Amino acid sequence: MSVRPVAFNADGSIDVVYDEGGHSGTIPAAEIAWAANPDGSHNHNFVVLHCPDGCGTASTHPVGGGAAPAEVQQMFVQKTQREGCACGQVDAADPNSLGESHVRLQVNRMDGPGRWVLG
Amino acid sequence: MARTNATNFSGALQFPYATAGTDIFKKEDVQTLALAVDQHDHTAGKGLAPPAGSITSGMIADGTIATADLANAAVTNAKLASDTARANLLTNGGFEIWQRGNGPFSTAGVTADRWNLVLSSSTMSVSKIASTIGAVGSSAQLAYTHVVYAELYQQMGAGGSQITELAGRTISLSARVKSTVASTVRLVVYDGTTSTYSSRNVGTGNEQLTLSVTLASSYAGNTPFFGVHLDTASCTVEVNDVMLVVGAQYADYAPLHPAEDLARCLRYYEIIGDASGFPLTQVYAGAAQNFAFPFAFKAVKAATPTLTKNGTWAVTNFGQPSPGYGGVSGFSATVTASSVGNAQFYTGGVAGVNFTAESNP
Repeated sequence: MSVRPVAFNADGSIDVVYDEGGHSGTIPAAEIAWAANPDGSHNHNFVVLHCPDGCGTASTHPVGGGAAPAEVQQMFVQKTQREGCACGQVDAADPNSLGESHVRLQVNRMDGPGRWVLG
Repeated sequence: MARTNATNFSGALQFPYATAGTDIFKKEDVQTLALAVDQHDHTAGKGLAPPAGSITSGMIADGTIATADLANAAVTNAKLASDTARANLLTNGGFEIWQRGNGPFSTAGVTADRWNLVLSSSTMSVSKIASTIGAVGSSAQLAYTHVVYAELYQQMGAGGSQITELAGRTISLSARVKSTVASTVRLVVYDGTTSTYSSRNVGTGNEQLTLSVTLASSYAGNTPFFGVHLDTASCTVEVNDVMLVVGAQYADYAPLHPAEDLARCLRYYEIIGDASGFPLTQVYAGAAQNFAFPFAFKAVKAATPTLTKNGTWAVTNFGQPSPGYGGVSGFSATVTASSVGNAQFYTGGVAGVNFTAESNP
């Protein structure tokens, strides 16, 4: 499938699997990275996960969820709640509900209503 | 012997007739009989009609009912035999397409194209095997270790799925199964509100499970799915020929043309690049210059996909490509040149070095 999250840890790290390579491992919170725009700024619609196995594989996940909607949307929510959003509309100190609402808005903008799968 | 009147004729001209050789013959007998017979109307459509509902299958010669004998729009779905070929609403129901590999897949997620593995405490691995039941080709083999349950199913959710148009309809699901243990596998339909199950397999041979369900009238909630459910005992199950059709009558498996089957799968998962060496990009670059190379998908995706750069690409004067800026119809791979001069990135013909795009319900 992709380098995708399968479990979320209390310290913000995520357990991931890379099915095609048979790899798995844990990615620290600091390495759950926003994708970069051509000008070097962060893009809040995409997050890049590198395979912790070091095989060179990397997956760029869209906020809509892509390969694993529930897990990827959850990853965006937790990252936004923890760090704020790359766009600056949500700050790390904001209530968690604001972060989740912001991500849900992004999902709706990207893939339309009905793509949001979190409760 | 007394003369007697006719017993089967009740008209006005009752004709007596002799019943013994000793009875005298009267010419009036013949006259009255002739008059009575003359009363019979033998024009078309006359005569005693068969009682209503008395014509049964045994009174009709086989093969004599023609299409013209049937009323227009009178053959209902329930009157179809299961071997009447119908369109499968599922994709890859024959488990012929395994773009992600042949398994075994043991982590919850997609296995064969479109088939999602779900685990609830139980473990189950999904592998591609040569079919021993149903259509020739491949099947899915499920190696199940029982704790609570496991499922293998197709979801119909966001991204223009046909599920919204199926709301409120009666559908029928069928599949070929062969389990090493009796009473271990059954079909499941979840309509977003309620799960409905078929009967479990009876024995350990080739069986066809069937299930008909009227779906909920709307899908405002959870994503519906259709598949197999294992929840009683550890076993190994072969699954093949899964069909989902509209109507109360299930349908035997009708394979799609492989090109169409693959085209449906590409809507959700696509590999860009192969061992032939495609793609190879080359430019004359300046130092630290960024490039973006566009790639169009073969099929429009169901939703914005996850883009994966698999493996380590061969590069000359380029860093590793990074797929991004993806939508439902394509993406751009961005790279940065290290110095002035020719720069290129390519798969190098190495299997497993490619881009993949994946969007699941």
